[in-house]
This record gives sequence, structure tokens and C-alpha cells, in this order.
Amino acid sequence: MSRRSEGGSLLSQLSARLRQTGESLPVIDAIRAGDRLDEAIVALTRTLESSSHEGILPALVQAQTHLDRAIAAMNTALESLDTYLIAIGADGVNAASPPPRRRFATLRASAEAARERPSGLVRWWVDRVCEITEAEPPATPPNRRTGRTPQQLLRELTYQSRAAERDGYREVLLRTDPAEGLRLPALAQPALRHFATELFGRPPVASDLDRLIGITDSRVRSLLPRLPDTVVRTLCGRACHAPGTARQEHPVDTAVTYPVLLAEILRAVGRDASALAESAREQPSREPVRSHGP
Amino acid sequence: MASVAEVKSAIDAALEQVRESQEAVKVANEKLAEAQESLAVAVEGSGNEAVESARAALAQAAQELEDCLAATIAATEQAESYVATL
Repeated sequence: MSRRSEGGSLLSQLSARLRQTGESLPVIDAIRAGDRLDEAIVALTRTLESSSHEGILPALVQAQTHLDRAIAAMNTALESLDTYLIAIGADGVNAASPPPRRRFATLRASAEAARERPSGLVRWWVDRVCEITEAEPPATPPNRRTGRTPQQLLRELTYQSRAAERDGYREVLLRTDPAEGLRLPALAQPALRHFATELFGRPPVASDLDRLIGITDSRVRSLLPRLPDTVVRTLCGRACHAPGTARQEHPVDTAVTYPVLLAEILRAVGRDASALAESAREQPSREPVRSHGP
Repeated sequence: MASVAEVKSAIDAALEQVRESQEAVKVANEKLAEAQESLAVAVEGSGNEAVESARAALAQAAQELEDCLAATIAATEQAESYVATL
């Protein structure tokens, strides 16, 4: 009797210790860190056009990915501790008993909510895409495709901007990972100048700006009806090295407009999105170290 | 039209948020190390699969927090270097 009582006491102590260990896991600290990082990413993205400072944003997004994985790993640890406590019959509960009260419920719910919640960067991207394509933002953003190289993404969006109508193009944009989408201008800007050069038979100059806008504007209006009027002029102006193009446009506007401009210039020269691979080969690489992709 | 001072100020504000994030990650790292130690003492001698899974998950969480911190440091350095060029 005495041994059973002593054993029960030791088991209770072990159980209490494991529960305390589980409850001490810093899930909430990690979520708080993620929230601050999220705010920083959105603020920096709004401040900088990532084309010129592309190392900063991917590094912060990568940091956020590590935090997400840390939270998921802590959730796994909590599940395992719960499984172990059931296996050893702690609190009089074992695998044959009715379903036990879920341990670490608050922490696990927080970890799962953090996993489900779209980041501020995603929400910001989705809201802006919907605004300029005249749609209500979805309550839950669709699953995003990731892992494409910026070259692959640019080709796909350029293809879709010609093949799809507004709803289709919006859908592709909503499935685009913002961190990948925001890197497009760095590739698209030299490509636009490359094909404008092919169109005019010489590098485009400021006096070509209106013609370039005339070729692209109708399709841009059709796909992105709420895009500010200045965006096409600014981006085409950069391709023409025209003065007055230092104006900073909304980074999402820039990222989603370039593929449409490229598609229309390619149409004008009788080419399609596959020609972008040729353009990329002719452009000096801006990111030789990371050209192997993720 | 934004001024250099406004751009610097916006970047500084964002970097402050990154620093707050780094502080939270450091706190999380310390708490995680204590939890790992507490678990190691409590389950010493156990060969239970769930215990091994919990240990491995906590080790992975610790590594991810370290990697997170390293990535934020790299981003901060790049951002500070950029601000210096403005």
C-alpha cells in the first residue's frame, strides 16, 4: 500500500514537472517576435522598392519562416509530451480511457492559430492586388505557390497577363508569394528595355515614351482598372531612361504591372513570354550567387 | 515627394521593430534552453518514442530560433549599410 502510494506520488511529481516544462515553452514569445517582424517587413516594403535592396526583404522573410518552423516544432513537442503523459497513465488517464482533456490547450491553440494566420505581408499584397483589380479581398487568402525562381515567376505572370482575363490574372497574383513577387521589378525593368529596343530598332529614348504607353495602356486598364495613372508612365519612362521617373510607386503596383507591360511589348514584336529566357541570358545576372534558386 | 530624412526615419522605425523581434527571440531562446534542460532531467533513462520526439522537436525549435536571429542580423546590417549610403 505504502509502495503504491509512494509510486503514485512520484508519478504525479513527474507528470507535474512535464506539464510545467510544456507550459514554459516560449510559444507566445515566438509569436510576439513574429508579429514585430511582420510589421517591420511591411514597413520596409512600403519604404523601399525591393528592386534595389533585394537582400533585406528576403532575409527578413527567411527569418519569419524560421520563426514559423520554431513555433511548429514547439507545438510538436507539446503533442509528444501529451502523448507521453497519456502513455504513462499520468493523472489517471491512459490510452484506454475516454478522450482526455487536451493538455497545453492554450499554447497549442496559439501555435495553430499562428500557423493559419496570413502574415501582414500576405494581407498587404492581397489587399492591394484586389484593390487595383476591383475585387473584394478574400477573407482567407488562397494557398500560395512558392519555390519558383524569379525568372520562372516573371515568365508565368507575363504569359498569364496575356492569356487570362482580369479574374484569372488576379487569381494568379493572389497565389503569388509576395516575397517572390516583390523581386520581379529587378528582372522586369531591364527586360522591358531589351524588348523596347527590339521594337524601335534602337534603345528607347524619352521621346518614345508616349508610344510605349500607347502600346501597353489599354491592356493594363483592362487587367488593372484601379491602377494609379502614374504607374505605367513611371515604368515605361524608366525603360526609356526618361527624366522624372524616380517617383516611387506602390511596390505591389510595380510588381504586378511589369508582366502586363512585357506581355504587350512582346505582342508588339511578335514574341511571347518564352522570349524572356533569351532576354535573361543576354542581361548580366544581378544575382549570380543565388541563381540556383531556393 | 519623400525626403532622405523621411526614408531614413521610416527605415529606422522598421529596424526598431526588427530589434524588438530579436529581443523576443532571445527571450524565447533562453526559455527554450531551460525547458530542454528540465525535460532532459525529468525523462533521463526513458526510451519512450514520444520522449524522443519531444526532445528532437525542442532541438529543432532551438535551431530555428538561432537561424531566425542570424537572418535578422544579416537583414539589419544590410539595411544599416543602405541607410549609410543615403
